[in-house]
Amino acid sequence: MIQFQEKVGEVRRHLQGGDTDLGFRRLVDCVLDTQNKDHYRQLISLTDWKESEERDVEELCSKMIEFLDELKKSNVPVQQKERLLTVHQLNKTYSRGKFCLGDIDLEIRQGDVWGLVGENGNGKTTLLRILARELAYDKGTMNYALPSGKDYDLRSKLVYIPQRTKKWYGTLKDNLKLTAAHYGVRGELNELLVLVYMIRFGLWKYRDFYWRELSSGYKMRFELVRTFLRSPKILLLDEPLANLDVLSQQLILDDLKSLAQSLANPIGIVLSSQQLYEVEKVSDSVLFLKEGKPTHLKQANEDEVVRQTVIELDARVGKEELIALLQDLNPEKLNFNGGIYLLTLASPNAMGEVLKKLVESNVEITYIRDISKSTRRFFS
Amino acid sequence: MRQYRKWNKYLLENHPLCWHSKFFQMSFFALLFWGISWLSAYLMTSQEVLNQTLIRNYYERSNFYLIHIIAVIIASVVWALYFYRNNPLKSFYPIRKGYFTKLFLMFFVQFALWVGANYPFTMGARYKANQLLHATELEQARGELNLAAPFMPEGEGNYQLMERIYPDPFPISYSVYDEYSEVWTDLPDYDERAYKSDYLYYETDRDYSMKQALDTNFQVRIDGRKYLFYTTLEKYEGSDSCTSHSFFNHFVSMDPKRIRLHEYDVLNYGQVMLAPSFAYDESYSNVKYFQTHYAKQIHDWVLQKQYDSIRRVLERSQVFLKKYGIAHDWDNDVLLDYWKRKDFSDPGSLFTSYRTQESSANLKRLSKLWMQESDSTFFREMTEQTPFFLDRGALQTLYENYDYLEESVWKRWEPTLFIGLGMAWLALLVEISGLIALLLTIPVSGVLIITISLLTVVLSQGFSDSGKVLLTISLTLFGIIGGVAIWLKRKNNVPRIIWEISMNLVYVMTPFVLSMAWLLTDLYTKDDLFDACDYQVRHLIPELTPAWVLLLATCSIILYLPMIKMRQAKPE
Repeated sequence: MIQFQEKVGEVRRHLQGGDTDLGFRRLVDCVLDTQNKDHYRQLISLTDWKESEERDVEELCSKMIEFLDELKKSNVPVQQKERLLTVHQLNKTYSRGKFCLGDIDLEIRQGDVWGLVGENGNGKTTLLRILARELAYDKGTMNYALPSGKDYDLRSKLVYIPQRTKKWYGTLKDNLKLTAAHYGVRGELNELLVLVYMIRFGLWKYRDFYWRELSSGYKMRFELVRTFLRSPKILLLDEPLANLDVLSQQLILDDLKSLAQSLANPIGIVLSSQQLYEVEKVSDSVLFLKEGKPTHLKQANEDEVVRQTVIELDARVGKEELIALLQDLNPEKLNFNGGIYLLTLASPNAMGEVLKKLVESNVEITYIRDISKSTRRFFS
Repeated sequence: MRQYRKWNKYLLENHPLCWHSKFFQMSFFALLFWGISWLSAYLMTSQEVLNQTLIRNYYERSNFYLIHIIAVIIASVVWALYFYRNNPLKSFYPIRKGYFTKLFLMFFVQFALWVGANYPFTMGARYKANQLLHATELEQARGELNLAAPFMPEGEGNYQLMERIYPDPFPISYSVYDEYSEVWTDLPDYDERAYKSDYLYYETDRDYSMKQALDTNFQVRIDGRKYLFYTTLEKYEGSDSCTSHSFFNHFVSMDPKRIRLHEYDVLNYGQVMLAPSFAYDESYSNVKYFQTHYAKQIHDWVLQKQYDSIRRVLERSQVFLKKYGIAHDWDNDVLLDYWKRKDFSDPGSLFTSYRTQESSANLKRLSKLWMQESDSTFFREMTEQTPFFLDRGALQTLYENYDYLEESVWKRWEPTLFIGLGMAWLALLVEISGLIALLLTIPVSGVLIITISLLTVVLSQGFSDSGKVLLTISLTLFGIIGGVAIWLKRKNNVPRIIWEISMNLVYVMTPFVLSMAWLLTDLYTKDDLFDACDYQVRHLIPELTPAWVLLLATCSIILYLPMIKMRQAKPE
């Protein structure tokens, strides 16, 4: 209950700080948490009003704050974050190509976001498909702590979105309504819930669009709405950011994180992506796969012990000159991949010193990032 | 349109299965096509059609079935494009209890409705026929036509004297032969081919009536005399034909001192009516009808030489034929003059001279006389000078159509329901199977069926009771395939495609296996009961009628339904 009030308060702060878009999205999350049809109706009517013509921001904010005040009175029970899946020593071998995935160990709890990273062909999709029970595995154990033990019913609670989603037919809204109806959301609630999720993922304007009329990004948003309407327990996403622009990538990741940590219906998410930094930013845990082996595993809530500093750098300076400049910091390694330098220093937390040296030497820096805690450092 | 959208929205939100399967739309358009079908038949049916075509066959004859087939194909393809686009099973949406049963039943109903659009066509034609044919008139004319029939020309050509048969006191023809071979082989133009069943229906020789005997399936001794019954395929189909026994019993029950009927005579006796009742299936019943309603009257007219009465019915018949557009042309004066000159005796009555006690030589004589009479100068002159013509076929078609109005249009329900079931069965298979597995199932099924057939034939060599052996072996082989499929399902390391094909085969085979098992059980448990004049089969389980096959096929699909979720959830 208190957590919900805090969430509402946070949304209020976003709005008061001028972050109208973010505030609105979080407002929708709060509405979803309440699971109240009246609030759904109110949100739909607010959106309709908001989208029907250009509105004054202040007026919009005041309406949203007014709505928040009403939401604040709601009693939202908070779900306990329980364990959903435990994988132990999981192995899968393909006879062709001699690829072997494993040993994989992981535990997914409600509200967790797992990032799955690695270069192409290293087993990310295979692992996701095994978790989705699309592929059989050879060794190890995989225990789902989900109510139904039957395979089909279990799979209805695991939602796997592949890289290339299938074409659908009819209007966007009808498709979503059909999904919701199949999942037992019937009658008026069906319409309301579908519209609320469409608002949440920015599909309000596109509700009567057909598949061919939507861009790749909106198709992915559609898939996400469809997924959330299914009330999944575990959501498995294969490269969901592949077709999105930079801004959309951040938005989607932020949305996923926020929805995963829903108070009323927290879910576990595993997502694979090449957008390392973005994924790392939202993930509670990251699994890095190299040739099928999990070479590093960062567990949620566990501070990694960093023993060296790894920096990604793009600057107008030659390699020899750079080595000379950073001589005092005793660099262990300096690799140049043609575009960016990858600098490894023996001492931890040395980013400040590197930056200071470069600034003092008037080196023109285009880009610099400390990747000591990022899985990026494993990409050679 | 607004109401439709509202209703469609309601279905989508509350009954996703109905919305997705487009059941109501399919059924609606099927019923719409029923309307079109009914209207087409109503507009197409005319008096000419009623005289030329049997309404029960009008759907096929009018080529409307082509339009129907095209409509079914278009409807099915459009429906499939909508339906298979979104597959809840393959998307792992929750499948509630009874989901597949409902889906299958909806498929069945919608396809059966589409396939059954021939019924409204027949109904439309019947409705129009009801308007065109006036019951009172036809019933009255039936009596007059039948009374006039023995005195009318016959056939579509000129007046033909063949097949003319009269009731007592002009004895109807009959044939009783002591020995099969002696009779037929003595005929002057004996041709062995004429006695084989293959040639029976194509024989057009004028001696056809004499050559019809085929087999001596039945014999009986009455007063120490052995009677052999020469049967035709039309009448007796084999030793278990129950129809034959009714005639057989009738024969035995007749007074042996009087003339007994031969089967062929019975047929002709029935044919003497111009407007027989088609409410009866058998000619034999028409014989009784003739005897009851007209025979006495005709006898009286002939015995008392009541030419005026004959003229009256002939004239009334002409009025009726004209009104209903039946082609006819004869002169009553000439016709009556003919009967006066012949004194009601024509070559048909030559049969009267042929008696049981007479030898086969009489038959030769009879044949010769008949031919001579047919070629006589009088006959030739008469047919050349005066056209004696009646489109007897049109008249009978008209009456058959009239009698058909009393019959149920739903009598032939089997094809519709079987095709409907087949389409539903296939639609469900497409729904539950992967595309590649489905396409591969077709050749695999073909190869398996051929292999099983060959193996069954080879393995059943040397067994006397081939029916049981063939079925037992086939069932065993099908059982082995089913067992292998289920074993594959349990194995984890079998490629999904192989496993899926094997499960498709189980789905495809089950209706046949169940039907075969039923048939086999029936074969092993039924009792054949014989007595002097009767032959009966006592079944422990109901006979495998189309209705049972339909029920078994439906049961097999419903039995398979629980497997669908299991097979879908199996990982690769």
